[in-house]
Amino acid sequence: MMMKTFLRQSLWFLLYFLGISAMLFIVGSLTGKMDTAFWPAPQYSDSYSFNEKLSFLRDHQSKQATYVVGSSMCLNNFSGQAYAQRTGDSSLMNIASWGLSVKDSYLWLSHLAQLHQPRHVILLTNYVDFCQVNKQLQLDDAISYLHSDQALSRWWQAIKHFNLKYCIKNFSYARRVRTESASYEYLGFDAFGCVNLIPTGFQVDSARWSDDHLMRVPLDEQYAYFDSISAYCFNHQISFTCLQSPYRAGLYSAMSGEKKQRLHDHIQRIQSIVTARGQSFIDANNQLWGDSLFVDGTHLNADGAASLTHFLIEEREP
Amino acid sequence: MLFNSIEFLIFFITVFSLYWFVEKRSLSMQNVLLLIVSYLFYSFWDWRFLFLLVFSTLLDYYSGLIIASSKNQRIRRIWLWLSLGINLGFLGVFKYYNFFVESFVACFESMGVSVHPTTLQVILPVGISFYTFHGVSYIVDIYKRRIEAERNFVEYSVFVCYFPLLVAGPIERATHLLPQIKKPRSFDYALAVDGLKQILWGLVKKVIIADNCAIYANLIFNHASDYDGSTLLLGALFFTFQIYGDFSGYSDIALGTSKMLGIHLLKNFSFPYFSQSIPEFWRRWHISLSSWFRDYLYIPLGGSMVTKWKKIRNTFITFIVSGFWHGANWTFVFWGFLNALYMVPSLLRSNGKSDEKKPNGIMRILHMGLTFALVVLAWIFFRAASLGEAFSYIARIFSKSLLSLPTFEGIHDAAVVIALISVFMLIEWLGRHHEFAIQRLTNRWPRLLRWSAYSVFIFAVLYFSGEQQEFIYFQF
Repeated sequence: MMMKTFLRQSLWFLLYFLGISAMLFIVGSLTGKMDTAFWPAPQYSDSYSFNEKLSFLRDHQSKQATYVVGSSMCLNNFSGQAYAQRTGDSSLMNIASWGLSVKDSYLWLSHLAQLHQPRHVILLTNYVDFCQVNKQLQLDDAISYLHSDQALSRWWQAIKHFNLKYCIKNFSYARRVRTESASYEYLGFDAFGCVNLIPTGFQVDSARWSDDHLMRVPLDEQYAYFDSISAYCFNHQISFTCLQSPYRAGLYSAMSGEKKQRLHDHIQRIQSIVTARGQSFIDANNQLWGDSLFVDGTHLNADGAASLTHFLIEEREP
Repeated sequence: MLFNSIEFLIFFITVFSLYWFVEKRSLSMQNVLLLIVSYLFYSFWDWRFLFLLVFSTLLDYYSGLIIASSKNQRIRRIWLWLSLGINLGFLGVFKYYNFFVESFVACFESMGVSVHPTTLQVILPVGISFYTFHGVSYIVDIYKRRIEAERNFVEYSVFVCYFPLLVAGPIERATHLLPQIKKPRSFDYALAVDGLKQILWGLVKKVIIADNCAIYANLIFNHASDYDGSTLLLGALFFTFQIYGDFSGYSDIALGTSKMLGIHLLKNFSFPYFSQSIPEFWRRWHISLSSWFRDYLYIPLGGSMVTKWKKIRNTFITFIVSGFWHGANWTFVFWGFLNALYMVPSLLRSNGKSDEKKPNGIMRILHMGLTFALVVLAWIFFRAASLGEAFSYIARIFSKSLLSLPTFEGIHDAAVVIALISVFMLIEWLGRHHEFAIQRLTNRWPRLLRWSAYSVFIFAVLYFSGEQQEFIYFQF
């Protein structure tokens, strides 16, 4: 009898709580704070970009022959479309997201590659990737999220990773990154998972325009993980190409001797790691890249990304 | 499986349903179920250490039977020391071996002698400090003929590894828990509702207070040399509320969970930050551990029935051992020593009677403030990575920069956390005469208002539940 009362009261309270939640949601929708069309990507890391990429990969075929890996250097500076047109090979996926350190890229790649066994990996990188603080990526859960076909498993993942604060905070942010294409934060992925920034109407930030990040100190740990990426590909018979992303011509030409030396030392260090295993290393700074191809010191616009991708293909061809 | 995780919610709903379903069949089935789910709960942490837990349970069970049945004092003593030796030996190996080895190495190196001993690469089994103390108190109580040995192995095992208290207490006594395990339990509506409320308040403490304070406490303690005195003081205050929210929150969830299964556990906290003296603080903080040390260390040493100086000696021994129980680090030892030092004035003042005069009015607030300040100071040693760090942290607090405004990354978000702490402490103050703050707070409110208040708490818990932090006391 007492148990029945307890269950009945609990059920009524649950209904009351759900009713209040529904009312709050309706109020949020009416006031524009919550928009079901822009429900934030589920949280599997402290990087919104990574979460958004994961959500994209969940809805697209992530098993491809070629993976393009890295941070925003890779997300924005590589053009999947240009690559597919030029090579005729559209089995490609850009799995990069903002701010990933080399360690993050290694862990992410090795988790995904274990499942999909890609044949080629292209790492598009720059000096700044070696100075980054590592992200907190929940990769085991992320992999289950990507590959669970069962509704139960999907629901479980959704409940387990539900975070009210994150959702409320990111409703308007999700809308912004998915719709505002003239912004650095744009995350409208193309079919290959790339985000190539359209230069028309782009609001260039003057601080970013002249930032080369070269006064930051790269971390030894990141070089060790760079070596791990190279070794992983080598050990798994995956062809590996490392492309050093270019700097804007105006910035590169005006660089101080000290900065040029830092960049040179960095390139020498990663080149020696890659070439030691007979893998290919391409330095895009061997030529100058016009300012009109950039949205800041290091991030290319769509035209720049297409040019860099063509450059990569040409340099890679025997 | 953390108490504040979705996994635990599902686990507990399942256990709750099965538990009250089998109640209709028999008590023994209910206890077998409790034992199975407790082992299952433990194996979620690390199933390999389940063997250690079962071994420890078996050892104490048989030792208890032999000690109780033997009339030969020598045999009784041998089994007592065998059980204590093995139990404390496991604790020593897993928890303190590396500490002693490293301390000896440091000691030898300071004398210019280089030694290279082997250290163990093992992780500490979850809850070992807690279930070892269960076993030790049980064996000592049998030896002292305070209790009878438990003959039913299932019931004894449930006493040792009952899942709500398995990983971080409260440290139960056979005299309190075993009779409840042996007695038929029927569902009690009022107790279950009380349990639910206590779980909710525990979650508020853990998720809203402790986990938010942890962000800033970690930031400030981990980069202490970058901050000025006022920021460091704020960091110490954040840790003070973190550790209270974390551990008393855990205890509330454990007690609430257990109430829903019809079993009362020992109260572990009683609004300790409203204490007006250090002795009172220790009667209100981690009560089950304090009383354990009182009964099994302080009193056997002579307790209060000795000369003043011996009483002081006993207090120091008890607090230092209690500090060492928390972790294998000199910081914990010093924390214990400091608390013993705090007790000295009241020990010197006391005349053997326990009639501490309670101050009134403004003096009461002053006493409360002073006690709180001493506690905050001691927590710095508890939180710091080393004694050197703790002393330099305190030295930096008591510098000119104490008068400057605190500055650190995220200070605006921290202001929200300070506001949350203020509201939390206000609710604690209003409910301080009850077992937990919201136990009776809303009882006279109309149902809808009461449910709205609970809904606000649930929303707040959901809102802040993004970044789960492990309970601090799990490491002990």
